[in-house]
Amino acid sequence: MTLPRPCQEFRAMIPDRLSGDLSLAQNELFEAHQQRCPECRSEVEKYQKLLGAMRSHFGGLKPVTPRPRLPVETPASAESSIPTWLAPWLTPFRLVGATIVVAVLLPLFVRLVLLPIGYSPIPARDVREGAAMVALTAGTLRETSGGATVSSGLLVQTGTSYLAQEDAQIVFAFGPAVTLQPASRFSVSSNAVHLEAGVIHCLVRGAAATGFRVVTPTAVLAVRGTEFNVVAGPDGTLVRLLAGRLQVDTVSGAARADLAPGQSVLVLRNEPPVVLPTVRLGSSELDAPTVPVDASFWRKQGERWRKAAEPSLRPAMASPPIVLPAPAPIVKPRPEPVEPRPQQGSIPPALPDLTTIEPPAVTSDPQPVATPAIHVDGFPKAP
Amino acid sequence: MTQAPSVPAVAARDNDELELVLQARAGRRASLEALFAKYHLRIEIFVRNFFHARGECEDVTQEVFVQAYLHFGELRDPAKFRSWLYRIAWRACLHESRKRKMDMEKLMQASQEAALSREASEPVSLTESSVPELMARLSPVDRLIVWLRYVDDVPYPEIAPLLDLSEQAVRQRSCRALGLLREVLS
Repeated sequence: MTLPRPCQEFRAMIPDRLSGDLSLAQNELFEAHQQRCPECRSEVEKYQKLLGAMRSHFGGLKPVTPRPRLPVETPASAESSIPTWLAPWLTPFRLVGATIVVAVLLPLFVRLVLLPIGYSPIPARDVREGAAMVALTAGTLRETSGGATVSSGLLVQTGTSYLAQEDAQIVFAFGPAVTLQPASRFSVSSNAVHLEAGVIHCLVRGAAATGFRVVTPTAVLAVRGTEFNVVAGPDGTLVRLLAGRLQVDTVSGAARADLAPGQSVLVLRNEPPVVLPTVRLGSSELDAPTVPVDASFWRKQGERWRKAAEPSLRPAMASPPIVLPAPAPIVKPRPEPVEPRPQQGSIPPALPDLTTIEPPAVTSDPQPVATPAIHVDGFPKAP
Repeated sequence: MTQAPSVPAVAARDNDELELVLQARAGRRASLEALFAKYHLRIEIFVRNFFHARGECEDVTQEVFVQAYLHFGELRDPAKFRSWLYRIAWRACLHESRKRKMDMEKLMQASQEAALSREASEPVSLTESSVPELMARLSPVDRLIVWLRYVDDVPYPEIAPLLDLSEQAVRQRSCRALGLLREVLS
């Protein structure tokens, strides 16, 4: 069936008429034809019924998805108490973003900006409180006194005693980076870490870093460009040098030892440092201590190490430390040349057989060198 | 006679909405929540029109409001909240259809008369409950256009940029699609 042309034109206009999209002139045409043509009028009614059904169908729908809710309101973003310009910054998502930005940028700023413009290390011994620029780059610290926490990306206050909540890393503006195991207790000054108890790993590079020190209850470690691990408690300190050079003094300053890479030194309270060859401290002998290391640990382990290292000779206070050379085939050569240093207190001629006190268990180990002397989880292995 | 809503009514609706948007921009969460509640069902229908399968719509609907919340600060013109939100919904639908590897050509094309004529042998009687069956005969984009224009009363100049089509094309498709629906009924 073909409709007459006016009816065809009329019907093409119906949808636009129903949505109110006809022009004034079209509307007049439409109404005129509607008056004349009953068939087209009934067609319009059908369209209207169709639209009516659609509208009531969609109007009667109920949502099947849960009502959209905003994320939980934090007190800081409660309405009306915050200035308008601040509001967007207080949404949780932006807070997280800002924290990440700070955590990434602050260490970068310290390393890339402060160092190149000549932020020089403060001379050793000259400890000026508040002068340090020490950033926490990973982990969380809690103040041992107040319970306030420092989170990653913020500065660590000098002179405040902190407890590492988890694996934490602090970076000094002049270079040294110190990784602390959980429960390590320490404070920082402008150029030193004062480790009361705990396990740390230090990475100190560059000429500017030579003033850096680690101070424990029993020893003072002076750095000459070094990577080393420290286990410290009230009664003792065990240091294993991974690379570079390190000078170890007792707190009283009465005795001193210089360490070569691969060597370890044990400093017990009121006793001179005892240098131990690497091979003495297999992982079987030094299990990862739980931190904080208490006095009994030092009494027990210290006694064992000392006996193993030096069964007959107990050095008196202020005597030069005993250096036990590691058996040559076992000590891995270091890639970097180690400067020859004065061998004060090297093997006395009277003790030619010191190297033979190697425990059989260790020598029978097929790969003794591969085992780091201080085997503490989470620590970087010796390169 | 069905006509577009009278001008004062439209203005009142816009004013209420504008007020809510302005308050939400000033940080009043309750206003943003009210805006979301107001558009909750509409966004759901929007998505449902596109996919025409109820099960697929819930994630997309949620995603629309999450995106709207995250990017609310980027809404430039407070008077265009509806367009902005529908645009987010449109993008979310496109994104989802790409993820499902749906045929984009098929989604975008206009409803074919031929496709309808196959079904024309069994005309649908017009009741409220037969509307989904009717709408199923349109292509996804035509379903959206018909719903936006004739049910949600969104003017063509607002629909066109929303769907990346020209105003003329949207208007043609809309009239044609409604005509097809009418034919199915007879």
